[in-house]
Formats: sequence, structure tokens, C-alpha cells
Amino acid sequence: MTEAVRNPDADRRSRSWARRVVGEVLLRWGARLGIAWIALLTLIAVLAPLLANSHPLLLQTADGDWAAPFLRYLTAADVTLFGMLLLAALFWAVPGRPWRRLALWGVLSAILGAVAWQTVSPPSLVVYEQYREAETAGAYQTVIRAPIPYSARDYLRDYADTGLEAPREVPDRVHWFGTDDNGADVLSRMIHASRIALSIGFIATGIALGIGVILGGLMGYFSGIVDIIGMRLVEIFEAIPTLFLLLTFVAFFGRSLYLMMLIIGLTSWSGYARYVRAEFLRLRQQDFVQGAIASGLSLPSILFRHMLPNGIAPILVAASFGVASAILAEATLSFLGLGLVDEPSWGQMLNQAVQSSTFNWWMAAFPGGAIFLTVFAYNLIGEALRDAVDPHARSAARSRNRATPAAGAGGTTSGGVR
Amino acid sequence: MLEVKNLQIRHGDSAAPLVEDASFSIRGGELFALVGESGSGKSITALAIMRLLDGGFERPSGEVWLAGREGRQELLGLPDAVMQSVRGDRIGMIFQEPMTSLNPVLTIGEQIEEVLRLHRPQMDAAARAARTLEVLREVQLPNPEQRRDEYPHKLSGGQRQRVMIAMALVAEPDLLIADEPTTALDVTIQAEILKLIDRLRERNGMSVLLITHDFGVVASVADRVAVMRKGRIVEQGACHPLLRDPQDAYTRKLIEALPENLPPLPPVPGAGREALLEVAGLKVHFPVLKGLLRRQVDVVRAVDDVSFALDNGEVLAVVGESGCGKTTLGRAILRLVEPTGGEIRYRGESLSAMPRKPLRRLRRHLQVVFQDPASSLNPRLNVLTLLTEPMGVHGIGADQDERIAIAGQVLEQVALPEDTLWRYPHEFSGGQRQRIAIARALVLDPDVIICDEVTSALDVSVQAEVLQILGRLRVERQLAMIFITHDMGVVEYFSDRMLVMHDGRMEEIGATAEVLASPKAEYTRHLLDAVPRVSRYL
Repeated sequence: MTEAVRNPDADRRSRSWARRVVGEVLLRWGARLGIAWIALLTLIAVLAPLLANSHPLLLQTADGDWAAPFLRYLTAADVTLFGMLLLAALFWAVPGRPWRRLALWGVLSAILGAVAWQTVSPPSLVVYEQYREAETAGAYQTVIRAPIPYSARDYLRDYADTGLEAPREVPDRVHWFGTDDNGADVLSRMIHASRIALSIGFIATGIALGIGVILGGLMGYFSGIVDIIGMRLVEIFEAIPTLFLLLTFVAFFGRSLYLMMLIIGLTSWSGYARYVRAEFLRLRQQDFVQGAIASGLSLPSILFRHMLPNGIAPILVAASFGVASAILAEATLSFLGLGLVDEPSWGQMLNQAVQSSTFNWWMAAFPGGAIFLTVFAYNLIGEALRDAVDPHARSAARSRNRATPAAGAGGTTSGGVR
Repeated sequence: MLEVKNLQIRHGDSAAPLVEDASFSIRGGELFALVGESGSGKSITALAIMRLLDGGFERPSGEVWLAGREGRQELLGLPDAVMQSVRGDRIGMIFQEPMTSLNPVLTIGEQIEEVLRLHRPQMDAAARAARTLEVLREVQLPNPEQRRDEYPHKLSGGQRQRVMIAMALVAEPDLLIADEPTTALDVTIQAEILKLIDRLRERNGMSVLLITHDFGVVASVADRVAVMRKGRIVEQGACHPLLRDPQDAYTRKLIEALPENLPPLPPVPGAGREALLEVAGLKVHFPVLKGLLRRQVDVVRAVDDVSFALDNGEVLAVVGESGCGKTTLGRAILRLVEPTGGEIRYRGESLSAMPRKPLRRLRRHLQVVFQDPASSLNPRLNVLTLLTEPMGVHGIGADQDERIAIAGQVLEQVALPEDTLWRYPHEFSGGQRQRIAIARALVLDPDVIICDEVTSALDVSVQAEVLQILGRLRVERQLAMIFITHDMGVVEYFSDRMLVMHDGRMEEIGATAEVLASPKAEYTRHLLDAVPRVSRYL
């Protein structure tokens, strides 16, 4: 027998806590589905210009020259995202310490983003119809188009009087999910909107979580005067109406997605701070924390290694709802007409569903379904994370897994070390 | 009075029955003790007699016969409605935790009268009130007229347990089931409650089924006793002969594991050579804050003017009842609680005035083991991390491999297998976790370990193991210990000197043998008198 088989726990000792948690999360089928959906959505969001674009991906003119028109219209964000995806694939393949690779990836992505923002300048005036018209006129030999050959803001002006159309209503144009008020393809808009949905959820909740965990942790651990001041700060932030603040900022600084993320993040951390504070107040008196202090461990280790993992469960669940509510907050803003101008977003499309005199089911069902699936996926992941950080539930999942022989491979079988 | 025949209890989750083939009988007016370690099935036996088992338990098989005023009845087969009238009326029950077994939003009088309203419907309000007062007098609750209209939170633990007894007795049952009635109470109050149960039994002629893990309690009050182990009754018979000359190997093992019966510890060579710790006039006061502006209205003197010295290899027992400040004293020495005044010196260096940073380096020399092994280990980290992280902080061992080797050695010293390292705390039993907690203290190679009630959450036999491990370590490592406990048996067995605390103050300090033989302080004498000892009754 090999060493690895005889000593099934040996690999457990080299695995860090974080890796173990990720491994445990992946044991659960609900989490796998949730992660699969978010991963798919991320891929769609990153590759949006390749998936839905009015500009052909590749064409050969009548003269025989090859060209890729969509490249000219890529924005700085598109370029950055493509680069990040390529770098991610590269670092995935390269061996090395996971944390170091992740850090390197982050740094390179940031540099790439800065360069892209300085250098990439797509034409501000976009004529979506030009290639369609040229193709009809027979100017090209070959045209390779994106699977959905419409951009998010292509209002099909060349087809004259279009507007709301149900899916596949017009036989000569294929709109799988129909078109909206202005005649733009719904599926294309949804694909481009997935960027906003994902980023606003992630970044706003990330900001809120970061502030909430640190402030709440300090409040709970030190209690006393720190706690009193912290709680007053929490109350002040709870009193700020997010919508009013957003309105003010929109009035002064214009409409910006990043500002929106920042404001939603900066105003929604108080809930997390309360959770973390309550957990830390409870944990601080626990003997194992007192034991950690008595062993002379450093404050960051006590706070983040001994206390936080024991108090993280309610925060993770709250965060999974937080992502969902950030998506909904953006939808609300769009509904009120305070969202981004002309940029597609799921919430704004939902709004359009009820705007005309008739109820347009395809405008409600598809974006609504996407919001539902995304929120549901985050909840599944949150739930699996909660179970994974709890060793009791963890061994239950492991023993369940062991029961199915195919899944029990690797370090999950039981047995003594000697 | 009560006859249990071949009682068998199963739970849906486990294949083996939790109680198997248990048969015993209790005569009229007799105090019958059911004794065993945790998980032996003694409490579920009592609950099965009361038919209070639920949540996944299968219907118990066997027979439970109750004889009484209305003749013999088989309880397990009774309809639920009839059983309801048996409970409280013919069998009364008191539970372990007096703090949670009374309803906090009803007055004591209301709670007792409710029992009467149910079981004595013919009584009118005046009669009920009179009977309530009478029963409160019977259980010797001070000031019964006034107490009757008070809410449970105003009473102390011992007084609440008296109220619980009053509730159980108000309908004059034939049988009283007492499930660990004194385990949560201090020794002096335990002695009073036991005396009270005994006297009420004689006066009312009722039988008592006492469930306990404490052989001292058994020896002091029981007429007959049954010993349970893993759901089976291994031995039963008259109390004193059984304790004096146990027939069953398990009973013998339990009695031998009592601290007073353990083989004496070897002396520690080289003990007392160095003065390690010196505590002078230590005070810990907690301010009582009130109102919006958090004005200080009072001060709680948790520890008030305590002084002692500790040499290497020496064990100092700190003894006292709950709330006397012994735990706070331990934490203040480690500066887990900030002392208000006084001086703590470790090898001449003053700990009490030291800034946080240098204090962290010194912490490796002073370690602590807590009472409850369930909460003293971080449930999210495996044993390896628990043991090696502090080593890393204090620079013990050159790299992780060396630390793992040291951790393995220390685990061997506390008699745990090496594969313990890769497991998580919840995979271990209470005794094993306590040994892991001791190992966590030991990896830093400390001079002083503060043991805060380390054995009080453990069963007798596990307690004996832990004490023997600690005793061996003391010799091997010349460890000095501050042993905080309320158990006089452990004090006598384990400590060189003892310090008696009461209300935060030091009552007495001296060599253990001397203090136990001739206590100087009035309080010490009172405390020692209350301790039930098996040897005293045989």
C-alpha cells in the first residue's frame, strides 16, 4: 500500500483552513449548482462582447481582406476583463503557492486595468447598422457573427418601426427573448447586464463586509468605550437613507456604477457590524478565547483565527442575502430612473415590463428569472459555507459522501494513522 | 412501592438500547439511589418511569408498577390522561438545574398552586393558599408569606431548589424522583437540601428515587443503591454493605477512583527550591454601573486582599463555594481580568504593572486549563493547530516539523495517541478533551499551570485519570499548580497547601493536611462539615 492510502489524514495536515473549507463546500451539490451558475454568469459577463454584438467578430471584404470590427469597439472595461480571464487561466496552469498566485494575479490585473483605461478609446459614435447594411449590399465574402448578433444598445434602426416584440415574433429576425421598448434584443441586454448584477453584488457586499467585520470585531472584542462609540456610529449609519444619499450623489457627481457600489457598500455595513459584534461579545468570554490570550497569541490571530471562524456563520448567511439585496437596490434605482443612462440592467428591464399598456411577459420572466437564479445561487453558496465552517456538519457531509463509493476517493476515508 | 421490571429503552438513532433489562424495586419510605457515570442511563430511567421521554425515543418495554393509595398500577400501559394525574399527584419530580426549572414570569405561589388546582380540584382558593404556605414552611423557605408572592429570580439557587421540592411535594406524592437535585448547588447548600429531603421522607412516609453520580451523597442518605453502567444495572443492594464491599468489578473501580481511595502521589523531588509566584494583596473589584450616564453606584469585590506565594513543584488548592471569587483570582493572576490593586510577581518580575507586549512573552510560563472541556478548545481548529500555534508565537521549535514532534511527545505524556493531532475537538470525549487542554498548556513548557475546576465536569473514573496524569507531570516537569476546586476530596488528594476563600476574601491558608484536620476559620469548619464523604459513613 502506498503512503497516501495508508495515511489518509496526512494531506489534511498540509491543507490550510481556507482550502479545507473550499473543499468541504464543493462536497455539497447545492453549492456546486450555485457556484456553477455564478461561474457561468461570470464567464458570460466577461465574454459579453463575444456573445452578443452587432459588430461581426470576423469578416472578409470583397477585396479578400480580413478584419475583426468588434475589436475597435471594445471598451477599457472589456479589455481589462479579457486580460484578467487570460491571466487567470495562465495562473491556474502555473504551479506555485495559491495565495501568492492570487496576489500576483490581482496586481497584474490592476496594472492591466490602469493601462487599458489610459490607452483604449473606442469611438464614441457607434453605428450599429453599418455592417448589416454592408452585408445586405454584398460587400463581404464571409461574415462571422456573435451567437446573438445584436449589441445591447442596438435599437435596430435599420428595421424602421420596431418596438416591443415577443420572442420569435418576427420571422426574419431571431430574438430568442424578444425585444424591448426601443427594439433592442432582450437576451443581448441581459448578457451585458450580468456584469452590473455581478459586480454590484460582489463589490458593494465586499465593502460592507470588510468594514462591518473589522468594526464589529473590534467593538465586540474590546467592548467598553470602543463598543459605545462604535454602536453610535452604527446607529448614525443606520439612520442614513441610502436612496436619499444616492439621489444626492447622482445630482452632484452624475450617474456612475462605481459610485453606486461604494454608496451601497458604505451604507449597508451596519448590519454585519451588529452580527459580528454580537458574536464576538459571546465568544470573548469563551474559555478557548481566554486560553488563546493566555497562550500569548497576537491580537489579529485571536480575532481572525480563533474568533471569526466561530462567529462567521450568521455573517455568511447575511452576506448572501446582502449580495441579493445589492442587486435589488440597483434594480430599484433603475426603476426610479436613477440607474445608469442607457446601460442595460436587469432591474430596469423588469421596470419596462409594466411600463406599456400591456403586460409584456418576456420582459418580466427572463430578467426576473435571472435575478431569482442569481440570488438563489448566492443563498445556496452561503448555506454551504455555513455548514463547511462548522466541523459537526462537516463530518456529517463527509460520512454521507463516504457512503457513495465513487465519491469517497482521496483523503476522506477513515482509518488510523499508524 | 415502585417496581420496575425488565425496563428497556431504545432511541431511534442508536442500535443498542440505552437502558437494557433494568429491574429494581423501591419499598415504602425508602430512599433508593440510582448511581452511575454520565451516559449510564440513570436519568432516562427516571424519565421513562414518569413517561416523560419524547423526541425519537421508542416506547419503553417492560413493566413499571406503582403501588399506593389506589392499589397497584402499571404505568407504561396507562392512557396519557390517566398518566397526567399520576404525575405530580402520586409521583413528584425535581430536576438538576433550579435556575431553569421554575417559570420566571409566575410567582412562586402561583406555580405551586397550579399543581394543586390540577390535582386537588376540590380545594378552594383559601385552602390552596393555606396548603402552599404550609408546604413552603415544610421545605424551610425563610419568610414563606413574603416569598410566596415573589418571582423566582429573587431567590438563590438553594432557595429555588427548595421551591422545586415544595412543588413536587405539595400534592403529597407517594414517590419523589430527584434527578441530581444537588449537583448544581454548593456543598453547604447540598448538605441542607439532602437533610431536608431525608426529613420530609421520614415525616410523610414517602419513597425517594435519588439519581446521582456522587458516592458521597449516596453514602450519606441512601438506604439501598443500584449501580448503573451503560444502561444496565450491574449491582444493587443495601447501601453501606455495597459501598464497603462491592461485588461487581465496575462498582469497585468507581469506588477506587474516588480521590480519597486513590494511591497517594509520589513526592516531587526538588520541590520548593525556587519561589515562582508571589501574590500580595490582590484585589479585583468590578464597578456596578447604572443609568444612562453609567454612574458607578456600587462595587463588587470579587477578590479582596488575597496574598500567597507558590514555589516550584507545589500545588496550592484554592477552595470555596460558587461566587467566592476563586475563578476571578485565577484569571487575575494571568491578567485575563485586570486586577484593581495589589501585586503579582513571577520570579521577581511584577506582572500586575507590566505592559501588554512584554506580558505576552511571559505568558508561556503561566498557563491555564479551564473547567469545561467543551468550550475551552476552539472547535474550528484541529488539535495540531491548537498545539503548534502557541509554540510558533513563542519561538518553540525551529520549524513546523519540529513543533509537530514536540506536540506528539506532549500528547504521549497526557496518554493520547498521536493521531489525535489531525482530529477536531468535537471528535473526543470530555476526558480526552480535558487532556488536550492540558497538552495545550504543556506545549509551552510552563512553570505554573492554573487549573480552574479541571475535573468538575468529568466523571469519577475520568477524574482519577486526569488527576494521575497531572500528578505525574508535576514530578516530571516540576510544575507548580494553582488548583481551583470545590471538591474537598480532590484537595486532600492532590494539594500541598490550601487557600479557603469566601466572598472574595481569604479565610485561611495553610498546609492541606493541617487545615483539613484542624481548621482555624469558622467558615472552613462549616464547609468541611458539609462535605459528604464515603469514608465518613462506613
